[in-house]
Amino acid sequence: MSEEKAPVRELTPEQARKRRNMATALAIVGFMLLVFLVTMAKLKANAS
Amino acid sequence: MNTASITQGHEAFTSGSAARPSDYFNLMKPRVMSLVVFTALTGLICAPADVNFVLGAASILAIAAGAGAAGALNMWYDSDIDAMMSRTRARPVPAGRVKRNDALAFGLITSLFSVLLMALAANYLAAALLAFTIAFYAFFYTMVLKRNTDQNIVIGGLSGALPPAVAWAAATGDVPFNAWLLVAVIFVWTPAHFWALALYQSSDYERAGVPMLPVTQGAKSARAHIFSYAVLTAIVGVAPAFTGLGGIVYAGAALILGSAFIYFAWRVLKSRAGDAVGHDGALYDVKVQARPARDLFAFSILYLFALFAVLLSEHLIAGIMAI
Repeated sequence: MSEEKAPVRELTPEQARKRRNMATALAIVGFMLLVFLVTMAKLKANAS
Repeated sequence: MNTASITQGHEAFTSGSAARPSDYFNLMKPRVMSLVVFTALTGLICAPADVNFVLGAASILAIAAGAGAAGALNMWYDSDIDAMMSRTRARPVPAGRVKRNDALAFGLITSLFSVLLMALAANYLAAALLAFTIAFYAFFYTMVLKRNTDQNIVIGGLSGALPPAVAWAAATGDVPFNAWLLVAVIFVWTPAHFWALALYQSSDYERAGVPMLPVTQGAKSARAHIFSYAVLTAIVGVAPAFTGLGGIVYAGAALILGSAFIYFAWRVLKSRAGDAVGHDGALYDVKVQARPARDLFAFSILYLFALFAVLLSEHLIAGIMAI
């Protein structure tokens, strides 16, 4: 029995750009959150 | 500037690229990144320090991002030879899904953010070591060593070996002998691992003009080199048991795994892996007995993973028992 691979749907450049923008936005928000958490952890470590 | 020229400028800026976020993720060589993360995590856990969970996780993330950035820079520079090799021609840049300059920008920006994150989460020593690791791989290995010497992966292997030391530095602010021992294990393991791959993919490297050892010195010499490095790897692999880094379980595992590594390398030494036997009516040379080289390549990954997993487990269990 052979499994057929589902074909990858081609995106238009516009759709692809929207996805990249969303991924970039998520990465920036994630980085901001990470910097916040790191700062809190460092403050806590210095306080104790 | 009128509206038409603004519209044209916008179209020129946005047109053409249908790259998905997953293409950018693939630029980061996720499989290499996973091994880097695992060895770095081992370095972090083995370091004698109580590491805050958030800071430890951020440090590992910085190392993962740094490794990925180095991979993206490698794919930017090597897109010409990647397009010539069957193993690499489906990568995002040679396949035309990501533009070369986009890969370069992605690699540089991710490098910057990874080093910045490491400096924030850990210390400047760890950040400097991470920056050195990225630069060594992306610039020294990729641009200088890879195309100019058959010792490319021997010297260049340092970049893949450094992550445990970076993580150790992140945990303690120091890189003692035991951290360098972990680096040494990966450093001496790298040649046998890559040359096993090069042995059964030598036609690929030859076509691309990459001077891998089986191409420059022949398969017989490569098989002998592989065996020598496998013996060296088995010896260095046991060393952490004598410095207090590894315990009795690690010693046993290193002996068994090291013996198996030598056995697989011995099979390669006695085989004709990488030898060409003529055209056999086909367009390309037929390689015979490539299986021992393929087996060694597969086992080498298991070897490193298992060795570091045992070390990691020993330290985790010791940490839990101490609570």
